[in-house]
Amino acid sequence: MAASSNLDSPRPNNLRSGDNSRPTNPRSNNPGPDNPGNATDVRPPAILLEGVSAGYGSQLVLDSVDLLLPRGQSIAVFGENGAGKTTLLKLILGLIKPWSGTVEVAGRRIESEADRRWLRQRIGYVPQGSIPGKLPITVQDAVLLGRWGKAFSYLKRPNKHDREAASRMLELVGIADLGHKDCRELSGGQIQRMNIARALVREPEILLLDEPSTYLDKSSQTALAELLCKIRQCLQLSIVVVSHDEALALKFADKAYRVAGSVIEPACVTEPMPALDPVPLTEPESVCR
Amino acid sequence: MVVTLNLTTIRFALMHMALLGAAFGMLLGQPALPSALVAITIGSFVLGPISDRTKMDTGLWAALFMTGSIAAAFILFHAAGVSAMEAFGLFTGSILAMTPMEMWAITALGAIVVGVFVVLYREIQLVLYDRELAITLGVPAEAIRNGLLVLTGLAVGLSMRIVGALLMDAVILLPALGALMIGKSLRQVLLACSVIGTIGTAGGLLLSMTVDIPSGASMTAVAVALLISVALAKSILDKIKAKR
Repeated sequence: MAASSNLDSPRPNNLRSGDNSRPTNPRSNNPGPDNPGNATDVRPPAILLEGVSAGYGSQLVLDSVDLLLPRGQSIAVFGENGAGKTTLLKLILGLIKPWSGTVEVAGRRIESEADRRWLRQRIGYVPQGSIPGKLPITVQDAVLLGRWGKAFSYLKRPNKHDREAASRMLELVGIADLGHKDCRELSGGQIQRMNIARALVREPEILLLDEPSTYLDKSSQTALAELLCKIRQCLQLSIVVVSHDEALALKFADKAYRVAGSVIEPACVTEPMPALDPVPLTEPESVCR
Repeated sequence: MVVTLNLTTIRFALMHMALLGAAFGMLLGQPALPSALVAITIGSFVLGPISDRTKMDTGLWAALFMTGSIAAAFILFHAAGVSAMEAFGLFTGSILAMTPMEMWAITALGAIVVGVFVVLYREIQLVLYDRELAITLGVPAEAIRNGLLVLTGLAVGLSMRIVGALLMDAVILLPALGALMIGKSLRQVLLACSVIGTIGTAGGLLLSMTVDIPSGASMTAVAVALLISVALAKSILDKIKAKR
């Protein structure tokens, strides 16, 4: 069994007074609107994992992991393929149960099916390599599906308000003009923007992204990082990005962690990437509510 | 469903399971269709979960079910003293030879399919669009997938009576392929599929009566001609659009 690693203090109050992980983004320690996770926020953390072990069958994937994501902050989690990054996201999403330890989201311990239903209302998720299949579907409709279980479900169908919310999110991610296009005709960068819009249309408090830069070229990756900065500032979300692409995630994450050998530890970044130019907070009201 | 859920191999497996069910029925002195439909339903319920549990593609399990079923069916036919020609007769069908019970069964299945799609349209759309996403949103994706498998299985079983097993794709697959070429949403695909299927079946029947050829073959020929026409029309329209 690998040794347990303590990333942050599992107590949210302790995190505000001190943090043993190395900041990887110069903005992370700057107070003010650019760093929403400031000392005045007394709410429970967005995500808190304490001593969590998990795996599949008899195979241990994560061993006694602690992780804390304060409200309004963003973290990046790196690691090789199969290291356990997606398992970490599945734990947070309540898709797999921890063998031991506890998972808390927004102060609520996730244990029962009722907890998981409650959790799904608060999380937007962009799955890894989520590309349109054989089914024709318009971009607007694909984004609208993200509101299932939040605004509509079995007997309650989507209404005008839901369609307007989908349009707003398409505008936010910069593909408002593609709403009536078939998803199968989109480029890789456009698909990823659509996937992010679909996660955001749930009006989540937390956004989880699994390998968001997969299939993207360099310019699309930079555009994606800029978009995530903008989203974070506009919507004041807590964000977790799981990626093998360190350069991308470090452009907007406050902190970085590495998954290796079943444990999670602060990432050692030899060459910190320069932060992107901050996006103005005064976005048009119709887009940045 | 067959196209979007990648069920092209599964439909063959279900067809052979129908043969096994029919063999059981004949061995027990019962009519072939009900026992064939029971076998298809059991197979549809088993295929999805077994591929999930073993994390193997449903198509691979379908191959096992297909060969296993036909082997078991022929053993049963041998035990029941059924000749090879008589057994092969189960694979043939004709819309003109359908019994009232079979007509009612097809009508009931059609009503169930329409009802399921009306009530669960968004949920089915989510499962067909992105199963992983559906699961994370809380949609019972497994139950919906298995339910669609059962409906597909029953449609396969009843289609065997309309055109015969060997020409079954004329009513199961070809209309869907044509609809996927022209539809821009699931709703449009479903409507186009129904229209193409109806034209193919009615047109084939008309052709069969006009030129005195077997109904199954004429329905298939019309369905193939329709699919080629749709593909050509789409290609021409796309070229015109590209020039503008």
